[in-house]
Amino acid sequence: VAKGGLGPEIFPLFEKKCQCEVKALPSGDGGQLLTRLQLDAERGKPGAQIVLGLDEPTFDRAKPWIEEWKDWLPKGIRGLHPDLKRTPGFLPFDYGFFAFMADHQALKEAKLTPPSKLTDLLSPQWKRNLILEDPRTSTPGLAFVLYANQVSGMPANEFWLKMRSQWLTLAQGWDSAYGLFLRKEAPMVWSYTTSQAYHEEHGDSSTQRRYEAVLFEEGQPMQVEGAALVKNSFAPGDAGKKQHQLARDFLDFLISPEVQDLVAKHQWMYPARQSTKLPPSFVHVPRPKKVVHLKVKADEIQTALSSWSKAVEGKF
Amino acid sequence: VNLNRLLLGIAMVWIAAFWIGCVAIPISSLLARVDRWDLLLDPIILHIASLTAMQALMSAVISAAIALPLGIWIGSGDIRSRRWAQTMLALPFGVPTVVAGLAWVVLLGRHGIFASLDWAYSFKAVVLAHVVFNVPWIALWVAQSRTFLPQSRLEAARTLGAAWAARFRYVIWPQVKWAFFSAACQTFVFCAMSFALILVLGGGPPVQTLEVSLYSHIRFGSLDVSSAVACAIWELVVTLLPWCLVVYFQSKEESSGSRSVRERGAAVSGAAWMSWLSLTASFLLFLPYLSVFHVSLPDSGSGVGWVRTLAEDSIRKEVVPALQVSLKLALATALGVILTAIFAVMTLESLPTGRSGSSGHSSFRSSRGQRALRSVALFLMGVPSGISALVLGLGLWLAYGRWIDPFSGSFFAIIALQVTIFFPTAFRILWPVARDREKRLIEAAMMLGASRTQAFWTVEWPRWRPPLLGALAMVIGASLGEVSAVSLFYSENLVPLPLLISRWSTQYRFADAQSVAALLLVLCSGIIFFAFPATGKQKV
Repeated sequence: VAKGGLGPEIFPLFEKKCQCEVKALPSGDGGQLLTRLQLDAERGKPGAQIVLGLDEPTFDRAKPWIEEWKDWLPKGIRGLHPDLKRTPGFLPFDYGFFAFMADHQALKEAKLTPPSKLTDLLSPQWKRNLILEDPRTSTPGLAFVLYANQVSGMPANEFWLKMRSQWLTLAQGWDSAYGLFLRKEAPMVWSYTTSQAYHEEHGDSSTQRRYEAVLFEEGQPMQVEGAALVKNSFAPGDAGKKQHQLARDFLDFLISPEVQDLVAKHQWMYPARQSTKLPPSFVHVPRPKKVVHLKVKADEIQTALSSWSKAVEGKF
Repeated sequence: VNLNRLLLGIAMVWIAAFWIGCVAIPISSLLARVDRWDLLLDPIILHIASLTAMQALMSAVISAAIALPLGIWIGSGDIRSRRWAQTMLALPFGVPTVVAGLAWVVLLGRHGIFASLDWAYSFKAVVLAHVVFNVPWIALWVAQSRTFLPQSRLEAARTLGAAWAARFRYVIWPQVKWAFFSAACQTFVFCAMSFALILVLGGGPPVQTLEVSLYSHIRFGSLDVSSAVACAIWELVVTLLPWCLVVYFQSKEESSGSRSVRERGAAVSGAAWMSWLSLTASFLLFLPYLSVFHVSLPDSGSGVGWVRTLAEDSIRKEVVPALQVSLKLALATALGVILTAIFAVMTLESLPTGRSGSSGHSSFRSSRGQRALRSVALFLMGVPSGISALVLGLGLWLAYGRWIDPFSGSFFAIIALQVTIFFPTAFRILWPVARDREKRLIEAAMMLGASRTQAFWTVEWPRWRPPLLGALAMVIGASLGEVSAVSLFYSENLVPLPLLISRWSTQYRFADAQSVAALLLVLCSGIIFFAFPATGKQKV
């Protein structure tokens, strides 16, 4: 719902189509979405009927409050990219690959060259030269923890014990992390490969880039963002049935060509629909050497977060 | 008489309802919500608690070490420079913590003038910001206490051949020590409860305190009320115990009579350069916050165009509603605080003082009981200062969750929280005015034919007006910059200026955020600048 984001573009389109009113309730990053769903469910007073912006790990944790589709399927789901996993109840509408974004100007000033693998980040030259997101509050932050645990080739606590002195700050969310990066507080930030397209679209040269995605030998983790219906959020009776139908129509609308064409330039992610034409800035975005599928089970995430906390607080 | 009794009755009921509803019930709800006692001993929470205490201790000790000589120095200057230096020392109270955080990010960041220290987003940055924030607080108390030291005592010591060290040990130190200990303990409590500064400057784990962790468990990460409650309980331990010490030191200061003799005339060091130096030293402690006026960013050119930025149409459209919300909150809070403080003063005044002239064992015991009752009442009035807004806010949510919810926003909850945390400040300004009332003057006025109302307006009101207006202005200033309560209970339609600053900072709108920070700094510091002299020499 932020200015320039996808919400303000597509809500009026849907309102025109359905002759209804869409009310957006902003909730911040993934962690906050979860909190809101949980709180609404506990109070028995759901605030929203549709939740937008869950990714796969968040979806697994949000399952208790998500409505299953049963025999219904959104129109156009078969046209989605084949790599996007089909999980009942979760409708992917965009995807992307996490990667470090490097500021070559800042790297040059700090006399650094971009790393080629994850464990390079543990070397002293990267000390306080990285900006990461807090995994407890941000989905990119959580993805980095799961990714590092999966591919670093080191015991997780050993990796994090070394890593905890490397970041300049752990931002509460992606937007604050990226804000610091743009202020040149550090030469690298954990973001998305498609951030490069954003910079190209906003004037960064496509031949001598200042901002560039850095790919690792280990591959890049994938993030799939999606939408879901909130369980028990529809009123009983005819009014509720109508709302339920409208909510399903909205999910259909999300993966329609009309919306998917807008995804790249407003979400700065790849559209989920396979046949969607990408803007030229996306063509230059490097594709990962290998795609890392992260573990997304709620209990695995809890274990990873708990051992991460212990490691960074120095309790091992 | 009936009207007086009715008013007193209303005051007592109000104070009882306020204290039970806004302090006792929320805290009991917190304690009742402890469903997992093992969480209290969770190694991570214990680590965060010890880091909170260590950070607060380091900040308080360093602040105290700098503030003691500074306060004595300023307190011994001539009256004019002293007044200016004290007003300058009071200015940082008006600096909203979110503005202070932004200012330190500007100074310590990669492009700041202190970039070479490489302290940004670290434990050192947090301690530095706390020290600069709190030195003026302790120095002000020490300076005020020092001004009550009669010059004749120092002269006598000098005549008897006492060197500077001996004069300090036997004359100055006994005069200022209780004020110093009390302010140092308060600094410890403030640093333990610090929120926005740590959120902005700490950089996340491992620099994480109980306050930030509590907030993450409720509002940022996935909801974990049990862990939030565990953090809140540890925070109560870390802040309320030192607060008891503050109350003890304050009572020692009052009973020692160190404020009973008013010094008149110029003090020892009359040299003009000394006065200027003390004024400069006080100003230096405010100087870092002025960095928000310099809107200079890597990609947007530089300049001091914060006013120009605010005047832009698109910015004005967002700033004006936020300013309106901030002003509404500040006015409602100030009225609530003043009303509650006046009712508290009326209630306390009605309690027997225990200074009856009757003799005998039983009356001695009863007067001791009355004094104890008054002391307990005074202590209870000060307790909210030892509890953080987030801890109280969590308690408020747990207690009244059916009506208020952090995610839906609540104007009423923000007001209730701010009134609770700012009420002790106003009470401490107004209570001495009521306590030192010259009843004989009122009686004399009435003997001369004045009605009770006339006697009040002619005798009492001139004494009450300056501290009352001063307290009102100080609460407005503090509320405008308050972050914790609004962070907990804001909603999309309830975004005051401090939240707009942090929101714009995270949307890369740094120039805009700095411009709003500059506006907020002007508003809050301006209010404190004009309000501080009006509070007189009361403790704030």
